[in-house]
Amino acid sequence: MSKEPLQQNHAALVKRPRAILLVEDNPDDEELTLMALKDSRLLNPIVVAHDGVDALDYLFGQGVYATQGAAPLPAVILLDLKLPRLSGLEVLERLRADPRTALIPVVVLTSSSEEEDILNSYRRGANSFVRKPVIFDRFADAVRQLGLYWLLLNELPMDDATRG
Amino acid sequence: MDSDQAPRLASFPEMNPNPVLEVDINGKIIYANPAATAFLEGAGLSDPTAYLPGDIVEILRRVAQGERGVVLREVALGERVFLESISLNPYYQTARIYCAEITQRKKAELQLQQSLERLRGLRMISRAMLEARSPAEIVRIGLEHLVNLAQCQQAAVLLVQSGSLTAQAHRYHAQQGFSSLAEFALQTEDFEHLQVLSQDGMILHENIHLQDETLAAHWMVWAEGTQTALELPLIAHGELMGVLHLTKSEADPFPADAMEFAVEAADHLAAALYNARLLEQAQHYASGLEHSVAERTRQLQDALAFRQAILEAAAIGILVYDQDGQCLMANQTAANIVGASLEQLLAQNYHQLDSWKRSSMYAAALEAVRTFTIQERDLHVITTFGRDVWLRCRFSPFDSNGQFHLLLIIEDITGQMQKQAEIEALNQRLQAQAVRLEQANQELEAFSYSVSHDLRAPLRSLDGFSQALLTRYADQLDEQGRHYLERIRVGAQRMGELINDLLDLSRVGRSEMRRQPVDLSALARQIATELQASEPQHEAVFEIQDDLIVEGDAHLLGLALTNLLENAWKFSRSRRSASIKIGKYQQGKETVFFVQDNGVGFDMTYVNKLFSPFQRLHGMHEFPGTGIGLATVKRILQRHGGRIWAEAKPDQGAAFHFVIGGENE
Repeated sequence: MSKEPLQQNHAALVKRPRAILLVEDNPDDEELTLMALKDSRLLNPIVVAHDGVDALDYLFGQGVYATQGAAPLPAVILLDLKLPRLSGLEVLERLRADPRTALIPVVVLTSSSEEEDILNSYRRGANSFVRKPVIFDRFADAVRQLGLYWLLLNELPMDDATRG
Repeated sequence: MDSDQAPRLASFPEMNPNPVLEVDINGKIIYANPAATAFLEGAGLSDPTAYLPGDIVEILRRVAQGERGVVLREVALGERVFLESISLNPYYQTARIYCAEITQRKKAELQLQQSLERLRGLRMISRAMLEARSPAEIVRIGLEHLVNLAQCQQAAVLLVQSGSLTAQAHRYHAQQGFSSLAEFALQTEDFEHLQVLSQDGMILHENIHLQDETLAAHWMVWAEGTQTALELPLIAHGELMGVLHLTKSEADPFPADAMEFAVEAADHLAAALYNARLLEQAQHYASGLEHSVAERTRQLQDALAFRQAILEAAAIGILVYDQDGQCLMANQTAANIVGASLEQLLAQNYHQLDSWKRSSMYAAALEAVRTFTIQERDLHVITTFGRDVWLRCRFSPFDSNGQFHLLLIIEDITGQMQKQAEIEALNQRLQAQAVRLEQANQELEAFSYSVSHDLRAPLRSLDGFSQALLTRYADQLDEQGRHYLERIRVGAQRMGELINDLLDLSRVGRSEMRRQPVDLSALARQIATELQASEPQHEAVFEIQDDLIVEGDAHLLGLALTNLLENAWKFSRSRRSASIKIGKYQQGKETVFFVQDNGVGFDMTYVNKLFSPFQRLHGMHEFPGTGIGLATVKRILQRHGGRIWAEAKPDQGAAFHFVIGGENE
């Protein structure tokens, strides 16, 4: 995947509802997730990062994103665990270690249902752990519920407060 | 010669204080001066011929023959002794006798004579006694001399044994000779008497009447008719050896000199007896000593033999080297261990042994000698005699009688070392196996992870995009096309279930067991509620016994119970009034739990396939399932140390019985 759509999405974010950051390296899962989110009629823009490094660069305005500076904080990060370069758990650690991103809700969305993965995710500060069901109907349902909860129900601290 | 002179001259003999007599050739006293008469009367005699010596006839014959001269004679007159100077006077045919009293001189001479005799006697006694070998012999010799020298009828000795209550008597009678009396017991009064005697030094008995019954028992040594007895203690070095009895048959007291002699003789006798006793004791000691030396020697020999036997019997090799490294001693075991003869070992000096230098036995020996400490080593040695062995060596330096020695104890541990090597090899193999197992486990875990993560994703794609096709492109698909897409979806979903069940099964083996009390009743009620909620149209009655409390891993037991109840639910689905019972019963010492349904049951012919993964007894279209559930249940119960078995009949329900098990995993 090229970075083009991501940048376009990013540019379109200004003055719009907070984005959802989807960190997912599997294009099928990405597409299915986007499909499910779209079906749930959420208006929030969706930003996709394809690996851990990409996600951090985007959030902190570094690397390929250095010219455009730090992105506005997403309302929620949907984070896969098995990622190239930097794993989901490592991304989580870095997010929680940095005051700028420490409070962003992170939902671990993964195919794994290993006890270890669940424990490690929560230990590193995940807000939620959701296993991607194989059956698409259930998967779509899960994504829809996630969107509803984290984007509509959940209250976030003010942007200024989190930006310190 | 003047006529005046005749009376004057005649007065000389008259005035002489010594007797002067003249006797004619016929032996008739023709003159005796007043002194002669006075002495005669003093001696209670009247006949003056008492003055004449025994050989007066011969002397007068010589006068008659005209011989001149003077002869000297000693004549005793009563107690008085006179030295008579007899002048032969052939002219007048007389002999004139001039007496000088020598009574005192004679007495002194006699006494001297007697003293000498007694001294000789004592010396004889002493010598004889010194040569004597036994107290009895001493006594015999002593008594014989005493009877003669002390002029008594009998001498007897009562020997008292020190520390004993008995005495023995020996006696020598002037006429009857030597005799010994049997040993006899002393009475209390005898001891009292002996004590008095020891204090007084001597007791003289006079006017004895032997019939007198009051006499002490030991006086029986006296001869019959004894009237006078002298009793003397025989004391040497303050010790009472016995009593000497000198007895006489006449009521004649012992003269003072005889008593003195007796005292002295008693001393000699006591000393001789004492010496004899000492000698006897010395001989006794000597023989005792000889005996104990022999005994000790025998004991030492026994001990040496004993030690040698131990040395030889010992299963360890024992060698001793001197300070120069020369072998002094070795046992047979040592020889066997190194493969040598004892002679070969004893010829060795360890400074010259290559085998020691090669195996660092030499270094250990030198270390032990240098530091005077025990050195222990397990060493691989090829001995001088070609044996290839592992030796447990202990070098102990020690000093014996100021000489340095090195004790070496060797033990053949070749077998041990071989076993140890085998064990080590086995351990290594086990460790390698454990590593491989660990690797396999890690691989399995990685595989499980991949299965759970990577294999699900494509399934999700299959299902997801089929769904997308079905919803978004429904109008472009005919019935057949939609059916195919549905089949793809069902396949993907079934594979998803398979993966989930497989993961459950693999987790049962991998997860850590946490034993705690688990309420199976509560668990069963919870699962039943969920089942009923998931399929409200299926009416089933759950009968769940209370207090099904067990010890085990809550998560795993929950998984097992879920599988069993899901099965019961599934296979009783066709029943109008389905009944599912969960309970327990006692079988011997075991508590058996059961899940029973009244569903379709199964044919017991295939019961052995029931608990193997992927084995199914029912058609997929009839009762969908992965065939992994019961395998998982069995594995869970196995991990708890328990077991499961089933009972069923086709169309008559099934019952699963299980035992949770004890402490074993």
